[in-house]
Amino acid sequence: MSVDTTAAEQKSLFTPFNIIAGIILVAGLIVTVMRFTGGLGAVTNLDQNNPWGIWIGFDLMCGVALAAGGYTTSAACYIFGLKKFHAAVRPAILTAFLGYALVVFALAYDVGRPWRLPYPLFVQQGTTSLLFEVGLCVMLYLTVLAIEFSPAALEWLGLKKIRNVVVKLTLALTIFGVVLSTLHQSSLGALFTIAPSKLHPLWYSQYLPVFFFVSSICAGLSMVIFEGTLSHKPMHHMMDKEYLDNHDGLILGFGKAASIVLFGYFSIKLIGLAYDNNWHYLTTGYGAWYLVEMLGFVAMPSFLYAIGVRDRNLTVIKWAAGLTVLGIIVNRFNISMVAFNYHLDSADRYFPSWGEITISLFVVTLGVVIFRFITTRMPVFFEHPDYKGEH
Amino acid sequence: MLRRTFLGLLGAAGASAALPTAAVAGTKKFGPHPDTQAVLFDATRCIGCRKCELACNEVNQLPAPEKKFDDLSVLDTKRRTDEKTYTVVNKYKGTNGPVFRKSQCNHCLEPACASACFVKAFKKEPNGVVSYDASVCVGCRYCMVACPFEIPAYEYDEPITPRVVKCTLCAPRLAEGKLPGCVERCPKEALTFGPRDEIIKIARARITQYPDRYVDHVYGEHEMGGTSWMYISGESFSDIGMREDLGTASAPELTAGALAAVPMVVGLWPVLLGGIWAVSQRKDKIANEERVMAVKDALAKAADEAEKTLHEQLNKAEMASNRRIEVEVKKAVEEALAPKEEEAENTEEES
Amino acid sequence: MEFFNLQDYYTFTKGVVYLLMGGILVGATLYWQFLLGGNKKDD
Repeated sequence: MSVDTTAAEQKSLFTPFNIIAGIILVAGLIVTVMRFTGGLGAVTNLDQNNPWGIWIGFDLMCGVALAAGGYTTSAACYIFGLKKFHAAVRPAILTAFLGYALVVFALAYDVGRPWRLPYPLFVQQGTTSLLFEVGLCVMLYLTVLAIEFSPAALEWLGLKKIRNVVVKLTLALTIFGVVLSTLHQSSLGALFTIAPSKLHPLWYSQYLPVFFFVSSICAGLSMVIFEGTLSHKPMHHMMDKEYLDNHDGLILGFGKAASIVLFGYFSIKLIGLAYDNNWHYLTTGYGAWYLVEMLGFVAMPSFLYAIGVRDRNLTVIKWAAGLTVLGIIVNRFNISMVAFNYHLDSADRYFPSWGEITISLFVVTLGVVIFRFITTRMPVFFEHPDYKGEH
Repeated sequence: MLRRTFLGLLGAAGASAALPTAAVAGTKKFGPHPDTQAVLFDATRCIGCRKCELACNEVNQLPAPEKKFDDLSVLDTKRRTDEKTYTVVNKYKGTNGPVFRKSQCNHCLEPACASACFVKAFKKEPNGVVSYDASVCVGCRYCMVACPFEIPAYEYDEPITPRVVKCTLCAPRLAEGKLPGCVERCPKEALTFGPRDEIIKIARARITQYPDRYVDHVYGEHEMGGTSWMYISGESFSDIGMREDLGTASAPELTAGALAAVPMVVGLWPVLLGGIWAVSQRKDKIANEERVMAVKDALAKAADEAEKTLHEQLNKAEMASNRRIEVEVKKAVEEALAPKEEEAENTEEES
Repeated sequence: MEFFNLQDYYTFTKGVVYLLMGGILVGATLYWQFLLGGNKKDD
């Protein structure tokens, strides 16, 4: 632990990060009050033609896709037996847990009557709805993640017996987690299969569920690299030898996997184009944007990853990860807001309001702040001395 | 194997979409309920007087709009339904002057809103009405995403009790044996209400009787799996603001493939993943055993080599000591023989 | 039971399927434990 800050600096809460975070949190609280006293109309740009905006397009869709690091990392370590990724599992699970918890939190802003969110499960089941499937799986997966994360909290609290019982569930939870993740990642894409007349043909496909699932793997692998890179300096003092020693190997290993999965994703999107004979759309305006998404945010990062892995150049891999994460956001935005309602007049199209942007920023900031709070206290980046070596 | 199943299901969904009759799942057919009612809108009769809008407003006790219903300048802008307006009439440029079309919930036979709703708030009633239950609605607005006709509206300005809002086909009035408000009020009989198959017959009869007057198509007979509100028109339907690219596949058919894949994942993923785990465990175990063997081998080899070296050294030492002994013996013998030789030489010299 | 549209048919069949899915997951867990129980020696 480096102690090169003065005692006064260490005690000060007013770091630049904290100030910005604080402003966002306060703004978020203000908009929250407006939302629940004035209704959605008071705060959003949603209208009768555009019922879903960035609270769905970003908070829900991107949030779920980018939290995929949880199931990919734990699957790599516990199902595929790649023990060298073990140190990365807890941070990935924590990110996923916070990610999904915040998705549910953000949903409470978006739906008209958030206290009725349990209704589809407990009152009346709309079993023909893909949203039912998403909701059920997200609820179950949030529970799985909470249990998967609990050993870290239990170790911190010193509850050894319960902790040991929970750790025995790891394999079952991991498998269950992959099953649930496959289901809800794909179903988020499947949501749009119900409206072929409203989604631009280049993005609409009966393969949407497959596209969303495969791209979630790319998202998960890339987010682990991305976050691992972002947190490396600020959280360095919490990282133990195992984590630090394996950091570079993690980046190389996940970079390799991400490269090939992105290649696979590109391939199946190509097949989707051919299956629906949509080639002629490529020469339109939307076509140009589609090519930007496919070439700049799928093909290019795949290639960059490959170069980084071949040359063992970690910097290139890290940039590829950032590009992939951005690409996932572009894709989810395209499907939910850009290519959706493509047939409407430009005057009737949607653009987020300041209120919506504030809440989305608020949710992300909450996540980062809580992540920092937990990782500076609980054994996430390091192994608790009482449980060292117990995999 | 999974992909084939998924694609097979997609194929089934696609094939069923091509069938012209009632909605199909595999080879099952589901006809509309025999009591299904319908409304026919005849665009050649509508004069855009907006009395239907007024009737709807009164029957449903909706708030008065900014511009009154007899203000026809409203028709100069395109309008859609909203949370206070369950139906709108829009004006379009026809070949021989303006034409008008009334827009409202089409009460589909396979409602996309019902398919989408995760809390079963929408229901296709036996009498043809697609009803909405506000008491379970969570307000997710997926129904608004799903509706191909862009009908459901939302009460965005209600903070606590926002509802989805759309034409109810005047279900309470139907229960009393009355006609829907708009149908009753229309002065030109542009709206006709009756059993669905009768309505289709009436529409076909009109088209047959006046082939130059109508486009030969009853819109809503098959679109999106068929609707309870159908249209006949003198202009092409796209010219009166209706989408002709919706196809005949209903929402349930469109989502059938994705829904069918879900239980396959649940049934097979645990098997697959469990298998991968078992294989990776076995690989680890064998790798471990091989490592143990390798260590054993290495130790044994080292021991062998040590013994060999020892043996060699011992041999060498023995040979060395043997040679030394030989050398000593030789020396001793030489020393012993040397004086005898001198003596022999001396005696030879004396004789 | 008679269904007059795909929507009602699917509501019923998907409902059954969801219940089965829950059962399968529980069953798979129990069966897995059964399979991996027993004598640990492999010779």
